[in-house]
Amino acid sequence: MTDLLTLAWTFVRLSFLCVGGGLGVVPEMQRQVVGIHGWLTARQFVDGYALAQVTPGPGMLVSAFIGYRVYGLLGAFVAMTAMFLPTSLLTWFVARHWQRLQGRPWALAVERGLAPLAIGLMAAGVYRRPVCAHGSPHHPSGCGRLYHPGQALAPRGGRRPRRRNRELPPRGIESVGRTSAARSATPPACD
Amino acid sequence: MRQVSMGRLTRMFAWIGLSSIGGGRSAYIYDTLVERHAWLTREEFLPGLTLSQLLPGPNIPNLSVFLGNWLRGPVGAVVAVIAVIVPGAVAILVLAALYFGRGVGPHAEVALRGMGAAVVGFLCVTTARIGRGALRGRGAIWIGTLTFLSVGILRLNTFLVILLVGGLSLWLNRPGRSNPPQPETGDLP
Repeated sequence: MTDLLTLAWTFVRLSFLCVGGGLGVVPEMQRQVVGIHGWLTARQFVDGYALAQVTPGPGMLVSAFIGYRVYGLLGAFVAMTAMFLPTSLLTWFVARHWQRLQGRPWALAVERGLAPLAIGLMAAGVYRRPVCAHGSPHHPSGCGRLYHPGQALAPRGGRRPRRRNRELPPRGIESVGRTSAARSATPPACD
Repeated sequence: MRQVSMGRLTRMFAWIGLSSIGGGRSAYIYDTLVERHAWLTREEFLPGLTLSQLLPGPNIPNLSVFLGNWLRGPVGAVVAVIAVIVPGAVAILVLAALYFGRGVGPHAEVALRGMGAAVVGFLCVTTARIGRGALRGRGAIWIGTLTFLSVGILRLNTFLVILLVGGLSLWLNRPGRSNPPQPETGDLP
């Protein structure tokens, strides 16, 4: 029972981190799931993430994979609900009011002003595709800082970045990351 | 916008859920609903995309909620989001059971690498298409570029960028400021 509650709370929090394409969410999820709660090994997490990317539907269905590991089918259901329900309700709430407010001056400003922002974020997601999937637990949000930006475009390996930070991730996690999801061509986005 | 039946709405979102593989899935929704089936115009789609990106939560369910609500009201929102999630949920559960049950290693990596080029190509094209609607006028192009540079290249914190660039953009587009109508240029057929 406590497991289920922790599971639900973890994914609710993660879902609310998904803002603007959610480039930082996958590393944070790895930190929570592997590092803090120890539900999965790093290898399992990376495999699960890769599986969720090649299965149809939202990438955040990786929550079902993790939930299944923790508490079987019930766990999967709880994790998915926690991931999708609260934020969907919020969006529905906004969408409902949005229709009513359309045409008002400020709604127009929001529409015109924020659309370019959304496009910029989408383009950034395409550009940043492979890097953050193996974000280390020590760099939950700024995982990119360990890596050279140009590495995102290099087919594999790329240029080894100069290490600025002494605090390196455990060898295991990093090497696992490098062999699979890290090289995947999909953005570490929250969709 | 067209009046669509609940059955078609369900089938369409289930199909989107099934066919969107490998990231950047808002692009699939745009491609299916706007380009192929013309259920919405790009102008009707854009606010949905914007809100689903900027509101917290995974993009695809958010966008499905928004568009479902737009097309068929609250019930449409519920149906759309469930239809878009369920097919993939079934698939991932089967895979999870296999993975944890028998310890079958995934060969997802190979598939991912194979899909890579195609997916990225598709994403670039669709982002550009949507962008043509959103980036109208010089100010909008600057805002879009600034966002891309700060999040994509400089890797600044996304929240911070949304706050600062979003604020700036809202201020530039504030009501009362004369906004000369921008001519629509170079639409794709």
